[in-house]
Parts: sequence; C-alpha cells; structure tokens
Amino acid sequence: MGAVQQKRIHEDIWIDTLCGRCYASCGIRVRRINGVAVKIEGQPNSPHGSRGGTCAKGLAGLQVLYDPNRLKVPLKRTNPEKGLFVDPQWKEISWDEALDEIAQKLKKVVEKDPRRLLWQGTTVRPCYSMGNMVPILETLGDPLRYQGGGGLHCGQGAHKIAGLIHGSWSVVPDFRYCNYAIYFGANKGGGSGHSAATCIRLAAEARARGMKLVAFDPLRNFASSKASEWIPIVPGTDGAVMLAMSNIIVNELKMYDEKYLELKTNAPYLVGDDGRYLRDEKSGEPLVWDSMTGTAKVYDDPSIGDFAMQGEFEIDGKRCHPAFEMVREHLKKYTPEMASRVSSVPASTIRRIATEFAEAASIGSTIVVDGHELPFRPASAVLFRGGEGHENSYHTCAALALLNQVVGSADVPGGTLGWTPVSFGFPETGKPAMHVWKSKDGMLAVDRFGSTFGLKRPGPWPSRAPEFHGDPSFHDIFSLMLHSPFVASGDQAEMWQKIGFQGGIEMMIAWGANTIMSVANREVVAETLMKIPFIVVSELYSTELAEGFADILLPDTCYLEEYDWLQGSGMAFNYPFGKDDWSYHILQPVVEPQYQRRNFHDVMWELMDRIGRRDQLMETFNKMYDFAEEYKIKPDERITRSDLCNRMVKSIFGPEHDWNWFKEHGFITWPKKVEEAYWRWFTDCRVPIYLEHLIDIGKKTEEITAKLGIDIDTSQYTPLISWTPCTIHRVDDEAYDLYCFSYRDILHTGSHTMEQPWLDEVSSINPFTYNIAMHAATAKEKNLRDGDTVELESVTGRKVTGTLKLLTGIHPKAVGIAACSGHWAKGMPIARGKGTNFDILLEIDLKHCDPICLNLETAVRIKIRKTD
Amino acid sequence: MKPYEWMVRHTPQTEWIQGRGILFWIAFFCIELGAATFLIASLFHNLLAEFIGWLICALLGGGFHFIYLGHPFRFYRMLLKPQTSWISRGLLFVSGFLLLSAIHMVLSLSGMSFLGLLIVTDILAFLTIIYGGFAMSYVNGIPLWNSALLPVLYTVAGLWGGAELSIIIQLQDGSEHVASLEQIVRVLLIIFVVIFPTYLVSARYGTSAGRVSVAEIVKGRLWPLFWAGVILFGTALPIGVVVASLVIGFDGIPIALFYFSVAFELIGDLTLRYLILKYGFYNPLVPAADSLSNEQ
Amino acid sequence: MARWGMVIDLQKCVGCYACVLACKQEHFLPPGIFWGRLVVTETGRHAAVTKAAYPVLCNHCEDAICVKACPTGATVRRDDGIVTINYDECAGCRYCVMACPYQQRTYYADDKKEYFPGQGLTELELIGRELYPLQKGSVLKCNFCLERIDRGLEKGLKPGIDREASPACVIACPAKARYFGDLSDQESEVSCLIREKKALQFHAEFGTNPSVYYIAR
Repeated sequence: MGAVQQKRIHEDIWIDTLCGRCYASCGIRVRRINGVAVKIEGQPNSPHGSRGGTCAKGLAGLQVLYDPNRLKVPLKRTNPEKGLFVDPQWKEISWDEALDEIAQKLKKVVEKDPRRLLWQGTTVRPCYSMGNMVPILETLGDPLRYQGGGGLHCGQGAHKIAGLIHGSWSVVPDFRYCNYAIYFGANKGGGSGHSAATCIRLAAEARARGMKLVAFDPLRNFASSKASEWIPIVPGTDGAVMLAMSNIIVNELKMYDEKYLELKTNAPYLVGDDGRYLRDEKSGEPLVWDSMTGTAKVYDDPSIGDFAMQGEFEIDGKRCHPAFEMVREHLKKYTPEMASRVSSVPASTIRRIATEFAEAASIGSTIVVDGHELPFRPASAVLFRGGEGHENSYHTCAALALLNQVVGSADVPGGTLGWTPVSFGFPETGKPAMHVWKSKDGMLAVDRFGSTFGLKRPGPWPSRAPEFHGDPSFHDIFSLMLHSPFVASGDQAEMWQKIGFQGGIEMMIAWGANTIMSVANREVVAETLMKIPFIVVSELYSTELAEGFADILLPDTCYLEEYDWLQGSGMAFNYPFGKDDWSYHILQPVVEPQYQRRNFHDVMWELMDRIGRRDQLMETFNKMYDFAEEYKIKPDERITRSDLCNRMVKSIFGPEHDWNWFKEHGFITWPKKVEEAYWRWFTDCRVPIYLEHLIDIGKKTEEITAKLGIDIDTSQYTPLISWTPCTIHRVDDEAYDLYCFSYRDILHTGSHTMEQPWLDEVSSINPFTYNIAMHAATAKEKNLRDGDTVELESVTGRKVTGTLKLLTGIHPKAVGIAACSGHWAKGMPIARGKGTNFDILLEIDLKHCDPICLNLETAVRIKIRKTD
Repeated sequence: MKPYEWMVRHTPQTEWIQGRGILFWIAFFCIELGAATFLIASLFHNLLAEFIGWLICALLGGGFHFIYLGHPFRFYRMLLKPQTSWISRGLLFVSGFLLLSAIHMVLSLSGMSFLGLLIVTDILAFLTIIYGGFAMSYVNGIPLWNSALLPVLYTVAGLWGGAELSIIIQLQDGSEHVASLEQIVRVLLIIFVVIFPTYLVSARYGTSAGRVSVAEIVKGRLWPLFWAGVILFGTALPIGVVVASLVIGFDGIPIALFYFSVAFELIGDLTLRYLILKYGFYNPLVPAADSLSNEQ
Repeated sequence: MARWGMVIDLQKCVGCYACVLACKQEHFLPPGIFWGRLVVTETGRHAAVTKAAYPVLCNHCEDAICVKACPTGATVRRDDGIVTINYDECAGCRYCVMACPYQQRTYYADDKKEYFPGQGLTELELIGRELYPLQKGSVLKCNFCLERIDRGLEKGLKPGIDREASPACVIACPAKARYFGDLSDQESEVSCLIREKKALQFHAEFGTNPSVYYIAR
C-alpha cells in the first residue's frame, strides 16, 4: 500500500484460505488490514492453483464481501403472487421465525416422502456442496436433487465416461510432458472450472515450451485463441471428427498402440453376433482368443501368449470376433469425407490432424519418471462442455476416449490424464487412500468418484441395470444418468403422469444456483417452480430465482466468511494432477460474517436438530467420513461443526495437524508418487472401447419406457461408439440457418459474477463478454453491422436480443453468447440489464436430451434479424 | 466509440474537449485572440484596442485556463519546465506579455512608453500567439495535430482575429487606420485560405489517424459545423467581404459588414479549433482487423 | 543503479484480466480508472486475422514524452527508470495525458464515483482512500508499484524475484506471463528473456525507449 499512514494501522495480517469463485477453488491468501479484507493473492507455495497468481474472478471476491446489495437478514415473501419479474415485496423476519417455518415444513415433507423435497445445489459455490451436504441429504432420506445448469449442461456424458475410462470426473492433458494437445470444445487453461488457475499456469508453460495445441471449436476465444491451429467446427459434430480420426489411425495409418489395447481395454474380448461378450461357462468371465494356442481363454488368464485382435472365431458353435475387429470395421464408415460433411472441417484437415496426433503419440516410446520406466505418449485429446453438451453426449465422450485409447495415451506421461483415482494418502497416516481395482468383466472400478477427501463413492462401473420404482428423478430408469432434467423440464407433467408420480414437489431448498437463469428457457423452468408451494433459498443476493419464486430468502455467508474442511480437495477435478504434488487446504474465514448472515451448513445443522434428526446426521457422518476411530462422534456428544472439522483433519493428517495447525499454516503438501500420478500401468484394470454394457441397459430401458409410454430414441444404445446427429442437425427450415451456443467467459462463473463492479467494468471493456459474437462475412450477407441490436429466434420460437460483435474467429454458421448474463433482478443492480441470457433459447425435455446420460442439448438453431 | 474499442479503433482525445475540457478550447482561443488584438492594435497605437486585447487575454483566456486546471491555484508551478514543456514556455510568454503590455499601456497613458518596450512586448505577444499551436503539434500521438502547419494555421487565424477585432474597435473612434487593417486582413485571409486546405490534405498522409480525423471533420457527424462554420462563415463569407471591399471600394462598404466580418471570423476560427480538438485521434495500439469494420 | 523493466510473454498470456484487477486492487483505484489494461481485439489482415489480447501499462519510457511535456515537473523519471507523478505538484493541465502516445495516463476528475452507484462507499473503498489516497484534479498512472519496490529493497528483497517487492500485476498473473527485473543487469531474467526470445518494445516507432518488452505470440 502506498502512502500508508503507518500509525493508523493496528492490524495487518495474511490469512490462507481457498477461493470460491468457481469450482476450482484455488489456494489464496488474503490480506486483512484493520479488520477489512483488502487484497487477494494466489498461494505461491501450493500446487493447488497457479502458484501465486489468481484470475480476475478470484480478485473480485473482495467485492462479494463488500457489496451493499448482499442480503443481511432473512426475508419473507409477502406478495402471494409468484413468477418471472414479480416483486416479492420482501419483509424482514428473524432467523427464529424463518427456521420455525422451514423446520415445520421440512419435517412434514421428509416424514411423508423425501422425494417431494427438492434439493438444489450448485457447482459454482465452493465444491463442498457436493461433499458436505451429501450426509445431510442422506439423513433427509435422499430427496430429489438438482444441480442447475452446472449439472445438465456440462457434464452428464463427460463425467460418466471419464469415470468409466479414467476413474475421474474429467480429463486434462498432461501439460508437463505433452507435445500435441487437441481440444474439442474445451477451455483447459483458458477458462474457469477444472483446476482453472492450475491449468492456466501449466498450459502456458507447455505452450511456451512448444506444445502444439489444436482446438476444434466454433469460436476462437480463450483457449482456442491460444491454439497453434484453430479449426472451426459445427457444434455437436465433434464425435464424427473423433471417430474419423480413430478410423484413419486404426485403418489407414495402422499406427495404433496394440499392446495397450490388448492389455488395458476390452479390445481382445470376443463378441458374439448378438453383440455381447462370449463368456467362460464356469466363471462367467469374458473370453479372448489366444493366437498362440489357438484357443479361447478367460481374459486374465496368465498363460495367454498372444491376444487375437482380428479375425473370426468359433466357440461352441457361436461365431465371434474380437471387439477390436468390430470396432475397426465400424470405424470405416466414419470417413474423413463423411465427418467433413457434417462438421464442415475439411477432410484433408481431419486426415492431417489424425496423422500428426498419431505421430506425436510416439507409440512404443518410454520415459523414466522417478526411476520408473513408463510408456511415453505425449499426445492428448480432451473435451468438455462444448464437445459433450449435446444429445449425442455419451457417445461423443466415448469417441474421445477411444481416440486416446488407440494411441495408448491414457494416464501415462504426456497423455490424457484424469485427476488420479489412486492415492496412498498422506504419508504419515495413509489417508485418504483412494483405490482402483479390477471389477466386473475386468473393468476399472474406483472407490472415490467425484470425491477425494470426503466420501467413498463408487464410480460408474459396474453400471447398474435400469429398474422402475416410480422415481420422479428417473434415476431408476436411466441408470447412466448423473443429474435429472425432469426436476424442472417442459415435459415434467407428462413424464410424472406416466410414472404415476402424483402430488409433485412440496418443498424446495435452493442453495446457490440461479435456476431460473442457468438452465433453459425461463418460462419453462418457471412453470415447474410455480407448482412448488414452498421454496427456501439461501443466497448472497436477491436473485431472479429468489425474487420470482422464493417464500423465504436466507442471507448466506460468502466463502471469505466461512470455514470448512472439505473444501480442501476442491472436488474431484481440482486437486493437483499429473506429477504435481498432493495438497490439502482448509477454508477459513478472513472476516466474521456481518449482519445476520449464516453459513448455510450451520443452518442445515440447526434444521436437522429442529426436525429431530441431528443424531441421525451424526451417525451418517460417522458412516460416510473417514474418521479415525477415536474421533468418531459418540451418541451423547453434541459437537459443533468446527469440532467436526477438527476431527476430520486430525483423522486424515494425524493429531498434530489439528484445525489450529491448519489455521496457522493454511495447507499441507506432500509428494505425489509415480504410481499415483500415472497409475494405469501399475494396475491390472481394463476400460471399454466397445460399450458392451449398453446392450443390456438399452434393452431394459427400452422395455421399461415402452411400457410406460415414454417415447425414447434408443438408437444410441449401441455398443459401437457412434456419432448420431442431434435435433440441431436435422432442422429442415432453412430460415434457421445459424447454430447458436454459449461459451464460458474467463471473467465469469455461472450468473453471479456480473454483480461485482470490477468484473462488470472489465466486461464492458471486453468486446465479447456482453455481446453476441457472429462472423463478419455472414453478418454482411444479412446486412448486419458491428454494434447492431439484434434478435435471435430459435426453431421453437424462443427469442433473445443483444448487441452484435463481429469477428472472423467464429464458424461462419455459428453465433456465440458468452456466460450467463442478462440479469433482471432488482437485488443485483450492477448485473442488471447487462448482456444476453442465452439459456432462454434452450428447451429442456427428454426430446432435447441425450437418451443415455440425459445431457441437455446446449446448442440451438436460430435465425437472426436486426431490431431497433 | 464503444468502451471495448479503446485504442483498437482510432480513439479521440477527450481531456481537451470533454467535460471541463471544453474550457480549454475557449481559453486557448481567447489567449491568442487577445494577444493578437494587442499586437495588431499596438502597430497603430490604439490604446483602447490594446486594452481590450489585454483583457481578453488575461481575464477570458487566463480565467478559463485557470478554471480548467485540476488544481487552479498551483498554476504558478507551470512556469518550472520551460526547457522541455511548451505549456511552461507558454505560461512564461503569457505572463511576460501581460506584465510588459500592462506596463506599456500604463506608460502610454502619459505618453511615456518607448519603442524598445513595445518591441519586446510585441515579441512576447507574438510568442503568446504561436505557443499554443506548437504545444499541440508537439503531440506526436495525434497525427492531426502533429503537423508543422498547425502552429502556422493558428497563428494566422489568431492574427486575423486580432486584426478584425482591431478594426471594430478602431471603427468606434473613426475609421482612421481601418483601411490598413483591412489590408492586413486581406493578406492574412489569403494565407489562411492557402494554409488551411494544405493542412487538411497533408494530415491525410502518414498514418491512418490523420485520415480518420480529416474524414470525421469533413463528413462525420458534425459535418454542418465544418461546412457552415468553417467553410461558409470562416472562409467563403469573409472572402466575399474582401472581394466586395476590393470591388466596391473601401468607403462604399456599409459599416455593418465589418461587424459581420468579425463575427464570421470568430465563428470560423472557433469552429475550426473545436473540430481540430474534437477530432484529434490517436492511432490504435492494436488495430482492429479491417474485415470487422462497418465500412467494408 | 538498477533500471527496472518488465517483460510480457504474449504466448503465455490468456487474457484473463487478473493483472488489470490486481492493479486496481493494490492501489484501490476508483471506478473507471485503470492503470493497466488489456486491449482485446481481432487484428491482422485477410487470412492472417488472429485474436490479440495485449496487456498494456505505462511503459516507463527512458525518453518519456510525458516528462518533457509536464510543465510543473510533477512528472519525473527516477534514477531507477520509474516515471512517477507527485500528486501535490500536479496542476492538472493534462498535457501529459495528451502527449502520451500509449495513452496510459488518466486524469482523476471525479472522486465522488461509487462502485455501487447511489449506495455509498463500501468499507473497502473507504479504507482504500485512507491507505492509498489519490488526488482529485491530478493525473494518475501506473507507477511500477514503486512502493512495493522501495519497501522491498529496504528489507533486502529483490524486485522481480521476491513477490513482496514485485509489482502486483506481475505476481497476479496465473499464466506467469509477466516478468520484472533490472534491465541494466545483463544476466537478469528480463534481460535474458529479451535477448533469447527477441522481445520487442511496443510501438518502438514512437521513439521513447520503453522499459516494457513483449515476447511475440
């Protein structure tokens, strides 16, 4: 600080904690002078983040703390009318009054039927929403869950497939060693989320080192603008390009990693004419063909001399082929020309990139890391939201996995990594250990999927068979679905009627996500919210969701006012990946909450007490958390939440590393072993390139949905990884000639960052954030000019308006809208009226979802015109 | 210009035209007009005109400059860097001029002023007239201003204004020197009519900011100001008056026309200076691609 | 005597605005005032159009036009190369604002602006005015965080190496795209980078010899 009046400073300290502006939760340190938080910096001594830097969102956290529009006291709606743009006419009430009413209603609904309680969390608050709330939800009887846009837009396919293939929530290039990275609609190192600042640091280093980055993206912005080569692509067609690339590598170049496929995938598994594995009669295990002995053997028979990857065989009169043979043949129809037709990427480009990728992978080469010789595959292909956010999500993600599998680049130095599912734990305690093992059919299973330090949680394998229990979230029927869209969909009434779920939802508790802005068309979502008689929202501001639909609005604390132990892991895709050391950080308050703000965790603990389930909650903690025996919560103990934190850190890190130790040191790091970072060749697990499980799941799903009268396209329930066109590719009306999509802006997370004046300021001086991006030549053809006010109309008649920004770095047929802007809430005056809300254009119903994992289609066909 | 187009498209200066910056425009003009009026008047020993010139320079020019400053009462500090700063030099010239011209005028009241003083005072007056143009042309970031012709243009315009004002004042107590003053005006006008378009044309060479500046001046949103204010009132009509005075002969001209011609000059000069200030563009630091321009 | 300079690696920069906001935070800058900016646009001709994101700030030119233009001497270039403004001496004539071809100087006209308009100044803004008072009516600009440098040197720290003694924008960059150090030391990180990566000054044609260098994309 500059002209500091030294004598007036009586306090000047730094506090180590975690950022809470996106789900990366990078390590930060915050300076507090005379009780006011004045500066945020990255934590330089931890691998959790950029080692000292922060992004703009992180810095603007101070303006979350000191925003006069932050809620101060509990509010109650006095206007009986609800709906979009309705004034709730808030009345201030006491916490006691609020909790009385909430507890009363909560008790009633969970005792009657917990499925009539809708719990909405969020991905953009500190991630412990998925961790620490799980025991609470379990104790409440497992209510209906909703994640908002963060659930439905961006991960249904990606998380499931990454879990299947890597035991992880998502994938990232091993920047440390990678020489050739391909992004399909991903922003690693250029956006928010997944180890945001860590990736920025590592990707920048990699690029400076000479790593070539090829980005398939309809828009050249952020990560794709840093690419050595940007390739515009039609949204939702990435799968076709990936399959064409695999086709070229496998069938034309014949440059695939045979050893990897033989030992680490189900490539050699014998598949019959019905598509299913041939199985050993006695053990039921899948069979392979040993070319050396000319016989079929169980896949993990140690005597196997040479796995057959081609050919046709007969076992007990049944014709069969190795799965790889089926895949190879199937790939042939994905010619570069076919992929080019649907994606608009020139066939020669597809061929060239595939060749460069396969060559860069250096199949057969090795590298010594920490004394261990490992396969070295410095080529990686990743995708995320842009690539997977479509009705063909599951298969697109599987196609990406296949592309990595064929060159053997999964979880090896330089290749495509998950956030490792293997950990030997903190050296002094061995906790939290994370394990992988060979499960059903030899496939990879993990015990902590989407949760490192918190809970044991099984991964997607083995997959569960579809059943029917009348579950209003449809998790019973759609066994490969992560989040349910039917909680707030356009066909909710129809779907619930078909499964016989009557009475609807009686109560909703919403924590954080701004449902009405971040999912799909707000009128559709509003209609479902209107049916819920009692809605409680805990928030920082009076948001659009709160103003339109909440009965009670509780003033939440923000991350700079909170403490927690589970934040440290930053969820399953934020802890240091690759060979970066392990780290664990605590979240601790920089300032005490002002006014009557309360941490929602504390609120939930009190509510559990009031509804008489506190003891049950403690028992659930005992069951689900990794307590050391002496720290388990005893029945007569009435512990506080801070006591829980203390017990957890001592359980994990030993008695010397108690909460006070962590308050002083902020975090702890320890080296990561090669067996942890590059676990794949240290374990004996396989992963599928042939999705055999989809056959039976598909049949069962078809059976159940047919009986219920639910119309579903089951064509994607095929074991051969395919590309299926989406609704947006099958629009006949030529008037709707453009593909509209939304993309993450590095300045924003979800819909809450536009309220911080610093971020709003820089958004205004950025040409893209609040504008609608369109190709200059396309615009000229339509007589549109830079700066025009335009209206976009979707095929289903949804409309949005905004300001046009022309550029050449966008697919000529695409129109892009950044972030989730376009606020209208009175409680967010800085954000109000800025930008355009893309989600208004989206439909949400079964028809617009991936039929396997239920990812929402996040692109839309539109027409555009100038308005005044 | 949208906020995100800052230094990506040609960016106009703002501090010397927007908000309180508008005072700079008037202040600048008044300093030059006042000094020029004094200078011209002093050639004909018209004490009244000298005094009016002095008032315009000191009260209007100085006054508006004073108000324009962020810290007006620190103005004296601006004398400290004449070795490198044109503003410093300017303040030095202005102060010197105002002081010496005051002394000269007081002495003149009792007929005791002398040629040496007058010469020095007139030199200072001349420096006062020219320093503003040099201060602006020193700004190499604004190609429209960064021209050797700008100080010449402003000096000519300033002198012309001074001459016109002197004519008006002179007319109050007889048309004794009006004819000579009118000659001066004719000469200055001819120079102006030559220099002015040369200046505009030359500004279009070099970098694109100059071209954009001239295009905005000539056919931008404020084009009526240019064509009516500068061309019609500032050039065409004064030429008309001069032609009339040549054709009809000096004595045949109605007195009113001289008043009009002062008005024309003032309007033209003020408008010209306004447009040059307003459309002083910087070249973008990172130029936006041409393909994005609405012009193509 | 050190000559402080900065190197910005455009290959690494991702255009995240962290440097812009870190500077605002460090100096409690009011709404609308930036000492560092990010200029974002598509640039180039025909097929070679690319997205550019250029972090720009005061270049602390060796032959600074603003220093020459300043009539009061409020703007001076220190021996270590940092160009500073003494707010108490500035008369607010804004000639320097005109003169800078990089347009990196701002006149502080209105000290009543609030970050939350109409809702008063927040605790953060109030303490900012105490800790780092700016002067309405004077011109402001980036000062290479000279307070951090000077205080750091007093403590024996090395600017550009020790975070506490380095400019806020340099340590905030998550891509580690900004470097700071002594240009007069041939073996300093910045000097080596300039040599090895052929870093260039921005718009060297202005002839002011900036102390900020850029490594091209």
